[in-house]
Amino acid sequence: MKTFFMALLLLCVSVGSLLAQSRNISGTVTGKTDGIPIPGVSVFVKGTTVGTITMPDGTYSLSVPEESEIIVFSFVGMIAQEVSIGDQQVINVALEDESIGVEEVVVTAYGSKGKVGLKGAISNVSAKELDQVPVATFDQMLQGKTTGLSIASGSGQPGSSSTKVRIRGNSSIMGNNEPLYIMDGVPIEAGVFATLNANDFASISVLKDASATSIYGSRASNGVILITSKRGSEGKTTVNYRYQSGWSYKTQDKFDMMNSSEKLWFEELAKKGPGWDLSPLNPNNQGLSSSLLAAHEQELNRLRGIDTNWSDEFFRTGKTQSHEVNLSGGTAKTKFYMSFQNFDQEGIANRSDLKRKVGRLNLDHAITDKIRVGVSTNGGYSKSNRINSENNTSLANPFAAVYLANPWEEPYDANGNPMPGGEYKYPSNDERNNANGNDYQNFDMPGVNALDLQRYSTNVSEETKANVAAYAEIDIIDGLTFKTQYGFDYRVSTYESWVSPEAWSSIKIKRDNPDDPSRDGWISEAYRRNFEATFTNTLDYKKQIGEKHIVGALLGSEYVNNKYNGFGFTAYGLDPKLPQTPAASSPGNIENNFIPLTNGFKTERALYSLFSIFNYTYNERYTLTGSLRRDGSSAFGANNKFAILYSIGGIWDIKRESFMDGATWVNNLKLRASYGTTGNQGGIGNFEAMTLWGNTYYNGETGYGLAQAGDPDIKWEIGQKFNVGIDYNLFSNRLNGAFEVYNNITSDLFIYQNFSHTSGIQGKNVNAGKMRNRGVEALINYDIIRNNKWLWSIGVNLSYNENEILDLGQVNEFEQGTSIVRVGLPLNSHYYVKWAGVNPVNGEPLYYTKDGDVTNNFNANDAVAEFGTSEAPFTGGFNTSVSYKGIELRAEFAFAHGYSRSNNQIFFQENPNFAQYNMSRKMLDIWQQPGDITDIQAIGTERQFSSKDVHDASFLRFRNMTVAYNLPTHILKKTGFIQALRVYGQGQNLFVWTDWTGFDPEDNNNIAQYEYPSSRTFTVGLDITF
Amino acid sequence: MKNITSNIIMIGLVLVLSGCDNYLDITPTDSIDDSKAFETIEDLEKGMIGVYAMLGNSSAVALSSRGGDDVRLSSQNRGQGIQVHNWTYNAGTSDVGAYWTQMYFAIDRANRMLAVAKQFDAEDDIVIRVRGEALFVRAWAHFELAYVYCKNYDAADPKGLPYMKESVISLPARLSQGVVFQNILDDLSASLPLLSGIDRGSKYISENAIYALRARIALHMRNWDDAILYSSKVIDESGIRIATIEEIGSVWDDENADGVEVIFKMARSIGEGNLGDIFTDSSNGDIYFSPGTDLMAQYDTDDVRHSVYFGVDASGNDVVAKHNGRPDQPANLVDVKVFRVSEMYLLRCEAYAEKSMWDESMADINLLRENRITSPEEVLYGTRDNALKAIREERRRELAYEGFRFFDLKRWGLPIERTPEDSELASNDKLPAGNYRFVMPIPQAEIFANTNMKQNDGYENN
Repeated sequence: MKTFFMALLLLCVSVGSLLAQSRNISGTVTGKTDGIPIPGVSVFVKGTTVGTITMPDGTYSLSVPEESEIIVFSFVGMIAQEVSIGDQQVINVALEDESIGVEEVVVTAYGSKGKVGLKGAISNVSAKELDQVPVATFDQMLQGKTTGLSIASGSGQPGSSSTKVRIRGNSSIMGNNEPLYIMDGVPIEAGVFATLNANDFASISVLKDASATSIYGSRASNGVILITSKRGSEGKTTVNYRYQSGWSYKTQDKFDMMNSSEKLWFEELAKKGPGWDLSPLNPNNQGLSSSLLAAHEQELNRLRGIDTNWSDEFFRTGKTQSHEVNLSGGTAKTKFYMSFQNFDQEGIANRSDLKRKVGRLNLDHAITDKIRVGVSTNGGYSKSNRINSENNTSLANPFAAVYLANPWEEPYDANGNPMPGGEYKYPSNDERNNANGNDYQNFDMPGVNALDLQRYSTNVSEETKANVAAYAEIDIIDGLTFKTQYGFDYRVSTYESWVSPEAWSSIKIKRDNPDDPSRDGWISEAYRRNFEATFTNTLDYKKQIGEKHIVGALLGSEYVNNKYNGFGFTAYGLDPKLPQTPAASSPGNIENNFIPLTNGFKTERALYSLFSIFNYTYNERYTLTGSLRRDGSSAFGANNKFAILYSIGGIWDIKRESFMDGATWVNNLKLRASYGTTGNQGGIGNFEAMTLWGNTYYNGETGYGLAQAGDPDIKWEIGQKFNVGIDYNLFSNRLNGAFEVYNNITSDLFIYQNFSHTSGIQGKNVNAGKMRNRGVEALINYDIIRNNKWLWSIGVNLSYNENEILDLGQVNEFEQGTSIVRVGLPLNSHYYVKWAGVNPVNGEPLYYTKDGDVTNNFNANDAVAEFGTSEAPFTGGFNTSVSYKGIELRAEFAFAHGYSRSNNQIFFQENPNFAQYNMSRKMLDIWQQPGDITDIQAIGTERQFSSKDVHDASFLRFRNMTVAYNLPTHILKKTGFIQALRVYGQGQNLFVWTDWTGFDPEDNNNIAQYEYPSSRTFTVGLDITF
Repeated sequence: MKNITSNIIMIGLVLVLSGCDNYLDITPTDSIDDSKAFETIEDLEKGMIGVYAMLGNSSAVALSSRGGDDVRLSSQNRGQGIQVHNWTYNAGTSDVGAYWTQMYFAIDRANRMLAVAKQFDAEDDIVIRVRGEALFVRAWAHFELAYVYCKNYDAADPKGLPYMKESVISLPARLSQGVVFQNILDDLSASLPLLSGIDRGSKYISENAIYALRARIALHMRNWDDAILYSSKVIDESGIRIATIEEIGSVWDDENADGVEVIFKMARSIGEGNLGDIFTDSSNGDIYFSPGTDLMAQYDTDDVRHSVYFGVDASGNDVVAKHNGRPDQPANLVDVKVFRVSEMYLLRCEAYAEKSMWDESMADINLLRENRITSPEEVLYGTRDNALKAIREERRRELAYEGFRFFDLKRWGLPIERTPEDSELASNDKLPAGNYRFVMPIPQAEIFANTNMKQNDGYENN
């Protein structure tokens, strides 16, 4: 297999090398910054396959066809240069470093202009891949893009903050598993991305191993995501206008619900609902007149004929529209990038949307040739309307109501007006009542009432965000630069919920519970403010000593201070004519019970760090890197005040070894190894180490009661990371990528330890657990065809992560929701009683005991951990792109494999006891009489959560397909002012291959509860550059 | 110029790189840091109020009432207290384990205040009082734990309790009962001079509360002389007198004057738990436990206690009315009475009888009856058995639903026997004398976390 693959590659590489006899050109290629010759640079005649690569001393010699005009010099990590041949015979070229390349990715820690870079297991997603993806938050865009990064979106709500982002798996059991996000050198809040414009990003780097992450200290165990925003460069100002418009649709369900006839049949069987109330089999209807029985049948027939398609009522085609203008350019002294975006996206559920206005200004100015200053600013506002009870199993959640609504409910009255909320009751004279003393019953109308609530309620969140960073950089002596930067991430969010007194839910509360303060409507608002400032100072030094030694070192200090506070209120007794304002509420008193509720909090946390990075390269072949950081956090206990974390790594540039001279097909080959420690302080409460007292009361007197017994020993969780990686570029760079193997052990994980109650406390989190993540990653990019007309490339990224809990301290296992945390198993292992089918004799559900016996007695103690985990061990993606002249075609796929999730939805849809709601058509197979072989238990038997509800959630998603056309330059030249024009169409989330039984297999947790599914989106767009 | 610039930078950098660790001293705003909570004696007093607030427990009342023979299970019960009533509790039953946690937490808070008090002037009146109150709480809570989780007093019984004298995270083993009770008495002896002359009303710990507790402990330890000594101190010297027929109703409405009947009670305000919820759900009126028909039949028709202790709900069902709330306040919200003068008379009466001091004993029981029954029949003992029977019946009548009955039967070595009428819905009608279930199991969480803790007999396998 391997040999076949290699053969195929060689075949592709050798396609078409016909060349005509002609003249010779030679020269030397050097690096522009250091003047050092570069071996392995590919030297090609533009538009042909005629070419060679430079020798170890950077020289080349190439015979070119007579008509050749331009030679292209390219090398990974450097900007390709085109040189007109003219009548030159010697062409020497100095190549400039590209900021990011595929070869040994170097990301600069602490400042974009720094000298000493981070080297290690770093994967990059470039601006091109994030461009104009019709998704509101950039974290969702990263799915399937690169190795070691797994992304699971938790909600299709535009701008949702519930995306789960994991770098090389979960490293904490009870603490935080979110990576650290850093934008332009300033940490930003995880998950709060709705007010950032990904089009402003130049690149996103995913830092994975110790060499790359240890420098971020006690926040780096979960990996680091570095975002670099676009900056201006010297030259003429370019003006870009970008427009995009699109439509979102609901994807296909993997299950069918009953129609009215089926549902009424089922109601009769289940003895519930109008199907039973009006049934001739119902004892209440015995002995009624034939005319009344006929009227019943007529009503049933009317209901059978309704067949409402509830999807049409709750869902819509969501529209997306985005306008953006950006400008960049500059002089030798001053460079700028500025942008403004107006982004509107509607969700597929009625009412849900996101409106964002966001602007950026990045400015860099050189005061002298030694002193530079600059700012990066991002400011924006977003507002999103949300559905009720998003991602909850609640009838107020439209994604639940659509399926649980009875098909015989009518959303509109005879005049076409929306049906008011309420209950169904057979509209009749009271003959049955008189005859049998049994009135007709009321039945809930979940569909009508969810629509009613949608009309009479709102759920709005607003976010204002500002990210500002200002820096000054001074070259002190040659090679030594001092940099100071102050930046902050500021966010204010408000969440407003409102329910009108006219809503059916209010009317019902008033009817059933006249003292409830929410009976006349309520409005609540929650306000949250997060402010995190980071002040960083670094000294950065790099020097070449003699021929063979390059030394780099960075010393720095950093102070991070986070302030988070909030307040909220709920007020009652609203005037229906004053919607969605606190002014509508009634002043509360004991009589009307409308006393408003208020709440609030304030908290703060600080981190002070000293750090250093050291790099040494010998003879360009051997590089030693190291880092050391001391973090002091206000959250750490007095006995563990400072986390000292370090890394050490080595890089061997194999290609530069003399024994590789002959291997001209190898352009770059590097072996990396690193080991180091990182910390995770995310699980520690801001004041967890302190003993705290709060107000209590006795007999009307205020006293101090113990609020929390502090733990002076509490400290960060520790991640030990070991990584070996290979970076490769082969066959004139046509084949490139990286392989990584890692073994990460996180220890001192927070585990709740129970104490003897004689201690005066129940217990607390202690640093006791241990867990391992180990895995392999492969990144392969290959240009199958590369010439001046055609470029066809494919990219594959594969990640496998194996997680295992090694130690839990005091215990060997504990349950966590429907999962078990057990030594020897991966985190989030499902823990259920095993389903054994339905007894054909009596329709009872059967289960396996722990010992494997079949029983009809459900006992939670029989739960076993045989149903896998909800964390996917295999994740990845692949893509292919083809371009021919100005036409580009790109397709991307993402997958997650080998995991399962619990489908809580079928607990409702396939549950004989929930016949008041609509049922899945699977319920037509319900056990009815002895001998029935079926998986659906009989009416009246108790439905339990069991392994029956755990299903494989592996999926392959056709994530994106883009077709674009760039207008040829010769046409644009005629306009005189348009530099470039690109039109494109995109399809997002085009298809999902999966066995999953709910809406969408992808989610941020282990259980499906009518989550807002991802939509399918088609967009068309236009980019014009002036 | 260049040198100056670089020097400034270097100096700045050195400053920045060093000495910033004090930026990390952040104190919370929403609660008070330990180091700042107790800076003045007023703060110490607030801390003691916090200890009072921790005494929020009525488990002994619930266990005794539900587990004894004074109630009848109601058909409206949805499982509340049913394991206690049916004697099916095990180490995992929260109804029987909660008291362990709450009492040890109260002890811990008292110990914290004793430690805090050391930093203030030992001669200050408030400091002295707070130390006295904290020592009392420590002694009382340990006694309550022994009352519920240990066998009848036997100094040699190794299954006593850990006696916590400081706030510390540890894995303490059980001390013998003798050591535990010696510690309790030592704490009370230490507390007495500190609370000498202190009387801030019945909602706060007073010198009289110490005597009342000592009398109760003495009865428990079968030390009749001490029981007589300390109960007499309350009866004769406290200035608190027994409530009359006219007054006894006001005691249970929390409307009695200070100096009448109540020696110490735990104040309860809205939101601090409704004592009457042991019997009846205050939110919807569901009856969990009805008064036992056997108990109701124990009262003479002219016994005021019948109308004070029992009532009927809107549907005409009998209900326990003793803790059913104050007039014009939420249902079932009342102060939890801990020590009453009537208990002092009853325990002195029992102690006298044990010492065969029949006249003194009869004087006490008849005095109590005169204050409860309009035309009481005078109790004349005749035989020793008659005397004990009369005393035990009177004790049951007077102290019903106050946390005594179940534990009195345990102390007397008697079985719990429910009449057929009272055990119709319950799945058990008799707990034989001396059965292991008279002692509550140590909570499983304690056994799990504390490797030195031994389970009580009979519960070893849960």
